Amino acid sequence: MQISRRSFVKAAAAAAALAAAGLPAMFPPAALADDGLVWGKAPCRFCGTGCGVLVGVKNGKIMATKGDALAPVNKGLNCVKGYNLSKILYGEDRLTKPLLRQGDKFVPISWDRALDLVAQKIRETLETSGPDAVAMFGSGQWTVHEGYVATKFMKAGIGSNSIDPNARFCMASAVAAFMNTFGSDEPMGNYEDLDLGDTYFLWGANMSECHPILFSRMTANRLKNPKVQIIDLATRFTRTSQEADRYVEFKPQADLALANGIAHVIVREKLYDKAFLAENVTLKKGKTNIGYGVEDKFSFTDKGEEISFHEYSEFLKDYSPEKVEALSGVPAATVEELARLYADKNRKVCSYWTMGLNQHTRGTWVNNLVYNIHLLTGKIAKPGEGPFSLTGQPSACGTAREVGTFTHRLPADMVVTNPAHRQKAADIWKVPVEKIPAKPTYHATEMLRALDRGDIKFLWVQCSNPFQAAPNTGRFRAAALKEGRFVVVSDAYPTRSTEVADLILPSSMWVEKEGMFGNAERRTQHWFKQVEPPGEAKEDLWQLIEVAKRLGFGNLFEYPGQDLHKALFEEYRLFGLGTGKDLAPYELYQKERGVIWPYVNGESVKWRYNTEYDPYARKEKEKGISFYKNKKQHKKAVLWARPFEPAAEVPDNDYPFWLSTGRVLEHWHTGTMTQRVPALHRAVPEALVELHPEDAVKLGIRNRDKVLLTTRRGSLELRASVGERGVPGRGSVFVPFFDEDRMINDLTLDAFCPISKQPDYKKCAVKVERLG
Amino acid sequence: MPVSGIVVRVQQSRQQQVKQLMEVMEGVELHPACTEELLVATLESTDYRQEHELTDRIQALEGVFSLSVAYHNFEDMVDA
Ligand code: SF4
Repeated sequence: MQISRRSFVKAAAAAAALAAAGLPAMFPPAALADDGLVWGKAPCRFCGTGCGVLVGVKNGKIMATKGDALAPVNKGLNCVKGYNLSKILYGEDRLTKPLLRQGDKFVPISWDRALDLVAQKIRETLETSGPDAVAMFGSGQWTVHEGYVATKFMKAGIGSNSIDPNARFCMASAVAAFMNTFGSDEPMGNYEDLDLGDTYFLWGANMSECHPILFSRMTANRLKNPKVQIIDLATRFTRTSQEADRYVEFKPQADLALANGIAHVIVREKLYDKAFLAENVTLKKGKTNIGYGVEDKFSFTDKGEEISFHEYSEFLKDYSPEKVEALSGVPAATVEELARLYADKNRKVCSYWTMGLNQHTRGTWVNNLVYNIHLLTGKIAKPGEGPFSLTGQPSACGTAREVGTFTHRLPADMVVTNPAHRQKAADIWKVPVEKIPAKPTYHATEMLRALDRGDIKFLWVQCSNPFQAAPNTGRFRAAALKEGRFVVVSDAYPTRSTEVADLILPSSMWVEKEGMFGNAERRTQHWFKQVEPPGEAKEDLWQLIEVAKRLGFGNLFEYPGQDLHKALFEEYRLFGLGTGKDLAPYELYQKERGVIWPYVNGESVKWRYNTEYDPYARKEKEKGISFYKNKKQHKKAVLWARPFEPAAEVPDNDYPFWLSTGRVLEHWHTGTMTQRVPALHRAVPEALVELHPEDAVKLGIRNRDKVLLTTRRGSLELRASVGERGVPGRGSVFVPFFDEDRMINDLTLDAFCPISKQPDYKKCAVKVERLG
Repeated sequence: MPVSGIVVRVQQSRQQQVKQLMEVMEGVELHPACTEELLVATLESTDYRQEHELTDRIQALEGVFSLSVAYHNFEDMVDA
């Protein structure tokens, strides 16, 4: 780099940082305008926050990135993960050719041969075993277009509901609870709540490491407003706990008791909002002792029964602060204080959560219980007040949930079990309604079990790594290699899933293709293709359409004379228009830094259900809140009485510790991208097992000692981390799941929430031994 | 040699101390403009490894809440 160019770059760096900090510029912007790079916008792909990034390209390569100053989510800043965004494209072992398994080896083949083979295997499966045996394992990292094409491919092309995404592993409980509480998926508020509220309850969410930009917004609010309190309710002490005003530790699974305890105090002390409840809330109880889904073909359907407020308060008697203390370890006085904070009429209260509540064998219940507190206090759907479920993947909302890439779903919250919904989908897709099967087949975990049983014979995995990420993954890895199964994996890098594939298809990623992601605040963001993918890598969407052509339903994806991405989106948009799920015209996304839905009369609705902001609510009443999507419940939200029930596998004499899994700051999910960034790999080269210092002393384990973890599923050797970044509660250990050489999911249990079918990666019983 | 522009959010009471510690770090150029809770700096490193070590060291300083990246240029690290 020439000195003058270097000074120029440094000046540009300083200018961007000053602008993002809101400080005066050093140079007039014009002086830095021509930097020789072509800049294009894109959302970051490392979490569900959806920060805007500008990508600087020269000679076909990304040379620079910057936080997008025009993006309302992050206003010019990216978290420290922003350093690695573009590097994930340039790992040395990018897949560049289709690879076919021959014995233990993979040999390169042409795209034509690969696509012919996929079509042939699908055709054979259809003939021998029927459409349900053809399955697609998708992703919350699929773009909106890809998810839409995959759903249409499966439901309207193959005629199979055997499609489910990895988002089942991270968001399904949030979806199930949004649906059974409000009749509409996704939060009512938006990220401005982080700037406008004053009391933040984090339920098992390590926002400082997993959603850094959102956490910064919350802490920036605290700097301006001394009233702000951040309360971290968790089972593990993290960087978030360190920065919170208060850390409240509870025992694993006891969030159910704690949330009910808070409601108990609110009801007992009559701190609830009587008028809000009367106008907007109906009460129900559901089935109890609902099981854990550990057995194959487990099936469960909940049934709600209306109850009175009196019955609800009787139910809450089991959750007095003293009883909650016994179950959760949270002192009774603290339970009371938390309840009063939630109910304080002078406080604007928000709750945030992600995997802690979602990856839970009672995930739907515990989501319901947090809504209960907001419904009791009427603190919902207002600026700075409300419950907000965060997402882990960049398009868990935009693709998996909104497009509905689940076995039971169709776009815009519709379901295959509803004949009217099927009819609407068939009309838009121009297929006979009989083509779309009325019965859901396999949710993600059951899909992998069905592969093992042989009920699924053809599986196509895109943009996901289930053979590392699924719970109890050892069983499924063996299943993939069984005779008579054909597994196709489309990915950018070799992974533990490509390893068990029969055919590997090289995929383009992020700005190597045009796409859209939808973040946690209902903001859909568009980007254009900015660089070419390496070698022969192709976008997943192209792969699907090419196979569709070979199977004779290519016409589903033909839009003569139109731009394909635009045409696909405009068709998809038809599902939501006029339903409260309205998306904007494609051109708007191309211009804007994302658009929040519903987009009505040329405007985004920032707080749904609130007549001040939402024209759909104004149709129902003049002023106040209307849960208008919950038509079956007379447009009221449902407050659910849900009890505490124990975890599927509780520590005992043989396996005396709780095992919880999750992420570390440096690595994204299964590490397939971030482990390719040398700086990140060096910083955190291997997964460690975190122990509480007192447990470590008892077991004679010191930092970096070798430790053997054993569950009923398997064993794993890891090094110990004691008193470092995260400190799990006494009697618990924590292991991140990014490390493909140390796969903790060989040990986890495939128990799930019977309502949402989301596995519990946070709780199973483990033995901990010091090695040598 | 990667160059970046960063914003560091600090605890007000430790702003001075963080500034002093950052000023002596090689490769860090603190910008004179700042607020009580925000510091702005440019980082220059010889390679990604050094850059990562630098951001790690800054984040580990007592009183630092977060480090955010506004700009990152690595044009001479890319073989175009
Ligand atoms: S907070 Fe999430 S979306 Fe924003 S820059 Fe960091 S990883 Fe990317």
